[in-house]
Amino acid sequence: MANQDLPVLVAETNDVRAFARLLRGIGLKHNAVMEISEAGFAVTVEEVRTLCAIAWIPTNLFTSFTYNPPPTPATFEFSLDSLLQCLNIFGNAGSTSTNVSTSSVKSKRRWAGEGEVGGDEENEEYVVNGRKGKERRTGMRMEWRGLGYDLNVLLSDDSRGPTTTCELRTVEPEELMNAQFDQDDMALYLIMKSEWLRDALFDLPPSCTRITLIATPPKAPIPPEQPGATFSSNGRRGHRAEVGQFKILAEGDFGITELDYPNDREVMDKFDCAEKVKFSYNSSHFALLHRALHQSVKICLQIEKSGFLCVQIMMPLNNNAGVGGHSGILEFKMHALEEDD
Amino acid sequence: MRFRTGISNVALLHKITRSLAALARSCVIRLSPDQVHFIVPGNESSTGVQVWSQVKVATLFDAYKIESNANNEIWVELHLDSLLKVLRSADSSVGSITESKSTAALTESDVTLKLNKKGQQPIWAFEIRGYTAQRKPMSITHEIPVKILSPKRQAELNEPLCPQPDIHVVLPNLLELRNIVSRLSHLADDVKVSANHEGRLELTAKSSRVNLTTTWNELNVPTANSNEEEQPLPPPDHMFTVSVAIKGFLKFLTSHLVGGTAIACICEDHCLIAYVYIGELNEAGGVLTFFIPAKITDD
Repeated sequence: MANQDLPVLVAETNDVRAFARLLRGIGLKHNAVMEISEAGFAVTVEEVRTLCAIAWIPTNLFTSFTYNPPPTPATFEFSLDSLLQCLNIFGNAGSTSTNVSTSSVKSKRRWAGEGEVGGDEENEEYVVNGRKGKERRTGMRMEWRGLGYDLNVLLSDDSRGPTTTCELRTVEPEELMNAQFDQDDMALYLIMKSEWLRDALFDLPPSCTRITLIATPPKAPIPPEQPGATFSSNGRRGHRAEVGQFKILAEGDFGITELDYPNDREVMDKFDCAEKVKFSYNSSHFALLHRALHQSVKICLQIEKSGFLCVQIMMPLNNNAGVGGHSGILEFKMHALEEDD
Repeated sequence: MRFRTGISNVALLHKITRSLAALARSCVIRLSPDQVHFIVPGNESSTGVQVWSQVKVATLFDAYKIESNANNEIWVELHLDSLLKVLRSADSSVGSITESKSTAALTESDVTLKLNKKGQQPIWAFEIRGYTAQRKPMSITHEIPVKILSPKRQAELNEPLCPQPDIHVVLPNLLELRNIVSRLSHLADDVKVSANHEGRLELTAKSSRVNLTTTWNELNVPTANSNEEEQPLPPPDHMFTVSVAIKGFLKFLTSHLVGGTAIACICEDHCLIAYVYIGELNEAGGVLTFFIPAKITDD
């Protein structure tokens, strides 16, 4: 081939934050599999047979993206942890807009209203002292010469500052399950603002083990009035039965938390549900969505008739996305738990 | 044995103590008529990092009086934790720049330090005096136990002997460096510090999954002023390298609090020496010297 000497991939950007944010969203395991194509990167993390998370990273996040297709598919496994550490070496790719956290691998359980996702307290002082509101960005040049080569990442803070080169080992990927979601076998399809789901995940009791998603189609029979319920609460329940609703149920040691999302225009962008759907999921897997939801705008939640769940999380569009394009999507897929009863 | 002084720069003494407290639980302070030496011997800290620093008396103290039978020198050993607590209180009372809005601040305040004896126990007595916002006079006294070092113990404390350093290099901003090194600590245990005469400094962390190198260019390389004729100059691009434990390196970097210029010296396969100057380089009020032992690696 003529382009034998050309690297398979050269990608450049002057701000790694969007890239790092997508990768962090799926940072649930040390290793990930990266697949390069004309469209960008697809980075997959899989927890054996239970959970699959994919970050679709489009080329529009980069100022330049050159892909020379090699004879074999451009796929390799690498250390996601290390790449995230590298991207944040200058502290400009942290999890919050103020660039605080470095290793947000440890997920902290918190109660609602405890404020936004913090970070390493240890680092906070230094960031506050060091930045003083100065907007600094880390630029990146990523290069991969092909199978058997390291993934080389060159990072620089600004023109005079230090530069960092990272050589990430790449290995041949393990086989991925990556079960496909069957669009034709769909039982529920809804689109709503990420905030709604993120707030719900905040409220989940730490002790809960099981999350149940329930969706009822519009025009369901109005449930019998509960004794002791107020007039307005009965009214609300009647309204929800009328328009259809989505419900998240978390069972914990100390009781049940129930969150209702009526199919109102200000809540649901789209709500397709033909008949009642009820499936349960492992809450520790479901809670992993929380980090991915950070800074996202919308989610699309789909459930197959078998209970197979697929949640797609959309990141805010940047100026280069173009019509019909996107600026990064995270996808989580998991199977439903067997019903106990 | 008499010792009595006013502390003119409480904030600086506080910062020095904070840097040292990151390293060890206790430290030796050698007081002489014109210098104060802060010493953390190697066996005090888990990483083997040692500190041998000297600060001019005038940088920290005023109305300084010292008398003893041993060249008017007094060596004391104390717990850094207790010293830190006193200085935190003194610092907020004096209302230094960082905590100017502290409600505990006193006006016209001054801090004095005396060596006293309480029964058989020698103590350092700090007295903070001033006026409250209501113009009431106020005086706060803290006492911390200290140990007076015997001449035998003094003789046992020796500054580590190091070969002539291979290269000196002025380090970039210590805070910036600290932030980067603390991120490297998630990836590896050791860091390779290399520098050459072109002003290039490299920090390399290696693990099974990633090799990471951060490079600075155009740093100042002060030329050694002695024995220049004896040794032929090495090629300017030759990298001198030493591997140190990241933990130890980070402990030295806590001295970014003191906020001066820092120079690193590499003694290949022996140690990394870092000098943190207090104040400007040419009129330095003192220098903190950190010895970070090298780790011998296979490659």
